[in-house]
Amino acid sequence: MILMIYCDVLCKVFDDVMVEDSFIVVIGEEVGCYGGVYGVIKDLIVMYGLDCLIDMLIFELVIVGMVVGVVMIGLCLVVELMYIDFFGMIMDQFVNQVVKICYMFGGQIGVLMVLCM
Amino acid sequence: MCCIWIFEECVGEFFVCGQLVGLMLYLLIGEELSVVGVFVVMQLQDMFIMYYCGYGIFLVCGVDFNWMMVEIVGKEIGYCYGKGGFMYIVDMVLGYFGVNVIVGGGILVVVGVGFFSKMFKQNLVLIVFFGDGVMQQGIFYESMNMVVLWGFFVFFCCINNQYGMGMCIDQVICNIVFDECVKVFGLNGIVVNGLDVEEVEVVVDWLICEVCVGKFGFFSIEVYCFFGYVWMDKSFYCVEVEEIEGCKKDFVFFVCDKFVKVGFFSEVELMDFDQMIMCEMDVMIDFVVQFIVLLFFFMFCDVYVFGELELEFVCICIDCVLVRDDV
Repeated sequence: MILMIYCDVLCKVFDDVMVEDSFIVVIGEEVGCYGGVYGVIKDLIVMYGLDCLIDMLIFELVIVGMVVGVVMIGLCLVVELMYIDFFGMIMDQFVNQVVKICYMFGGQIGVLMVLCM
Repeated sequence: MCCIWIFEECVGEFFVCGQLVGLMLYLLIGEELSVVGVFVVMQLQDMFIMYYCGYGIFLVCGVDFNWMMVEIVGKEIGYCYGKGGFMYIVDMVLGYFGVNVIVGGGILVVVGVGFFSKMFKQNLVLIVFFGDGVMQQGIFYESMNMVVLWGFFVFFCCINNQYGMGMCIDQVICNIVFDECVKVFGLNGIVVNGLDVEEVEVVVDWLICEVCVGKFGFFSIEVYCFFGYVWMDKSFYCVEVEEIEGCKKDFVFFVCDKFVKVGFFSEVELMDFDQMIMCEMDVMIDFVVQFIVLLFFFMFCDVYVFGELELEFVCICIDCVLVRDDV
């Protein structure tokens, strides 16, 4: 049995899905060079570069709102929030856009995103 | 423009007859006519998003008004299969990312679309329409900041009817000169009188050219909303003088008058044109009435991925609980 810590498991998951689908992008605060606040994806920058691991400004609401627009077109994004405390910050976009868009437009537009905290 | 006006009146008629859901209907008669000037300049691949409930823009971009009315009255074969109603309509094929009635709530979506466009080098021009109620919201300024910083081909269009619901704009924002508010972000800001559609066209053409060379744009169209902000309200928020002045901003009259003076059309021809639209609308009403309304038990269809469990209706849950208690 292989013993792995959570960070490594998550990193492997990210790696696996990004190898499989080149359109998957991770976006969030310090996800680029820093590799996330817990260093979960710090090894991925070498393989995928800053085009797939995009650093964003310190405003969670903007990150999630922007991601909604991107995924509406068809890209699949992983949004990483630094801490779970910031989840309250994104509630407007999350509840009023991410969750409801599919229902509002009769299933014509889906929001394919993964929120990682 | 006549078509938009008459179409909205038909929506109002459906509402009065109890064919629409809800107790309030937001019609924008007289507001969106100048938007025709925007779409003359836009190209086929360009996209747009709206943050207020507007029918005119949707009609101008080439949608079949028969099918649009089918959706508005909630028929099951409408654009959103009757689930969107008059509030939420979307058509991705036309580059129309839908109406979203949370005022300014989702304006960041356009930043996201711009991000996608830049990432895949599609060079789409994106237009976001919103009402003057957005102008004092932080999320709008955040969006402008991102657009300029990252260089997305986006420009902002404010349809300024002077009121956010029943609240006059000068009571909620300290600087009502909107073009000044956006210039601090480095955008080209212009205020246009919406009475003249040709003026709107010229301004938009210039703004889009500027967007393509990296100077992003904002423009505000000053308009007047006829018949109140909620269909046939009492306009208690509006003084009489203001209403009289507002009614002088009749776009259709202005354009028709211009056509007659220039000699494009005679008055008789314009009246015939009006009659033709009225006939088309009558046909539309007959077309709409023949379809059945979305049935309650199909509410969750087309919402979830095929194979996933659908939500159980509350009434069914309650029935189950009551039956269990009886047993």
